[in-house]
Amino acid sequence: MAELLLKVEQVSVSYGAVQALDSVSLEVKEGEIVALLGANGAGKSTLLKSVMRMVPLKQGVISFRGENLSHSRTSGIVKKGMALVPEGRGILGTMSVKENLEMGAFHRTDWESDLKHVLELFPILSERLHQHAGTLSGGEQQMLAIGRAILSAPRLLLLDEPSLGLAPKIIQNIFKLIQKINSDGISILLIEQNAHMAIKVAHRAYVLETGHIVASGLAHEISSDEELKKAYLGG
Amino acid sequence: MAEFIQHVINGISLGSVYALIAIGYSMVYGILQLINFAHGEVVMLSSVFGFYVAPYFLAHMDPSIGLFLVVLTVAMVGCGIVGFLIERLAYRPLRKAPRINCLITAIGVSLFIQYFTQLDFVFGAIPQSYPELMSREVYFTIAGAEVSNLQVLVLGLSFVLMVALQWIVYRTKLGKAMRAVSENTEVSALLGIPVDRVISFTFILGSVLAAAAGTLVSTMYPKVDALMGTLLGLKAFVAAVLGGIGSIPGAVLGGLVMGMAEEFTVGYLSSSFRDAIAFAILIVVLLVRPSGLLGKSRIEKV
Ligand SMILES: Nc1ncnc2c1ncn2[C@@H]1O[C@H](COP(=O)(O)OP(=O)(O)OP(=O)(O)O)[C@@H](O)[C@H]1O
Ligand SMILES: [Mg+2]
Repeated sequence: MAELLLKVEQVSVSYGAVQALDSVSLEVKEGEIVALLGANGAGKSTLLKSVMRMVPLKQGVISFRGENLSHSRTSGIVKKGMALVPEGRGILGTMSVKENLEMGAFHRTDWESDLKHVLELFPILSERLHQHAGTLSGGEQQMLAIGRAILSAPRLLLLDEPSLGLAPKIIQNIFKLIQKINSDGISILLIEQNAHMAIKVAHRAYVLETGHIVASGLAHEISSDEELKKAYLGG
Repeated sequence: MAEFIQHVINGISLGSVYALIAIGYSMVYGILQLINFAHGEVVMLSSVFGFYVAPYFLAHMDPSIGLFLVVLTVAMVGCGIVGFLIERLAYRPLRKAPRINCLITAIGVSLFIQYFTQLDFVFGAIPQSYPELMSREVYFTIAGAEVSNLQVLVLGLSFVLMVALQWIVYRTKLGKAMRAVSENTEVSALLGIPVDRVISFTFILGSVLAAAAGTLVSTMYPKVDALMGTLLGLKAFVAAVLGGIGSIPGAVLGGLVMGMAEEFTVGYLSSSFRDAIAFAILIVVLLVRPSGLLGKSRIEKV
């Protein structure tokens, strides 16, 4: 049995009067790629933020490898082995590519060999190491954001719409890399509006609709469900 | 000509002191978007620390650069601790509060330190003279202008500290983390950067520089006064705004311009305008270029 990494139990979050998540439960096991699908405003980003404790929970429990995270801080959760690549990538534009990567490895001392590994995974970054990260193209920034997150040595990587705003060819490339990262032993929880692509690489998927999980199952089950297909996969 | 050069030299050394203080305002603003009004009080406390410890060392040492450095070190350690405590006790509990609350607290902390220092059993309300750490002598003359050993000390020490700061901010992991946090706090936390620790470090760093400024000011103008931090702090704050608040090179430039402007006002206009010039500069900057000389113009989030 693969180890249970992330367990979200009946989590509710609200922003003032807006209830963004309503009793959401979800799991990610070691080795999996899990897709979290849903329309605009469904609460996908909020779920990842609540996992990283960037928003307060109104109710529910989130645990990572059996440990309740309710008293952890964001930076402490990173140390425990979870990393989030946020919506919009969160590049530190005034710092160099190298410095961005170094900050990703902030809590580590032995990251030089991992840096080599990341640069092999994203060769374009080694050409840009000393450039300001703000000067990179969108696709390069996404690679930097992912590479930087990998340098924190996560067991579970949370990706919030990595394909957003990128050209189709680059999206293809990003998804290939996601599979590669997964085969290197990092589990992945992936948010996508681009549900077609996501479901192709994912093992399992959850569908979120206005704060509720409305469907979950193996990826191919979700993609063959006619109703879901109409609603989320564009017919 | 000699008079002009003399003013330039005096202006640069006064400006270096403003720069050292302005850096602290700028770094804290960069990281918390908070104007730490208590920063001037840290400068004042540096002189108070020097006032109390110098006699102990004077019992064993003659006034000299060595004595100055010893007293400076004590003041730096003391102010570093004060800076750490100000953030930890006053600002950290307000981390998620509206910014206006923090601003009011900053003013409160500033007044608290001023009045606490004025208590009789602390320092008292009466200005005292600062012990002579180094005797002033003319170090050299250029084109008829005299440069004193104290001015050389001010310039040398400021230069060394600014280079050290640059090294910390660009070469060390904690310094890089300071830049990361000031660019984007949320992302920094997501990278595993312990944001609170970085903020503490920033306050300590700023306060250590303020300690150097206070010790230099009191060495040049040997007086200690519980209220001396107000005006020094305000002028340095104007210098930080002038340079572009949030920018370290801006703070240095702003400090130098400020020192120069003050010195020239005193020299060629009237010494009664000494303090007014700072506020004239502030008004002009806010009207003409609110983002300052080296500041990036950005839309205020408030
Ligand atoms: N900071 C906030 N303040 C108030 N409401 C918010 C905030 N963030 C999100 N919301 C609201 O919460 C709901 C869920 O938002 P969330 O960003 O989690 O959705 P999402 O599924 O990630 O959407 P998208 O696909 O657009 O990224 C939306 O109704 C949104 O308007
Ligand atoms: Mg989102």
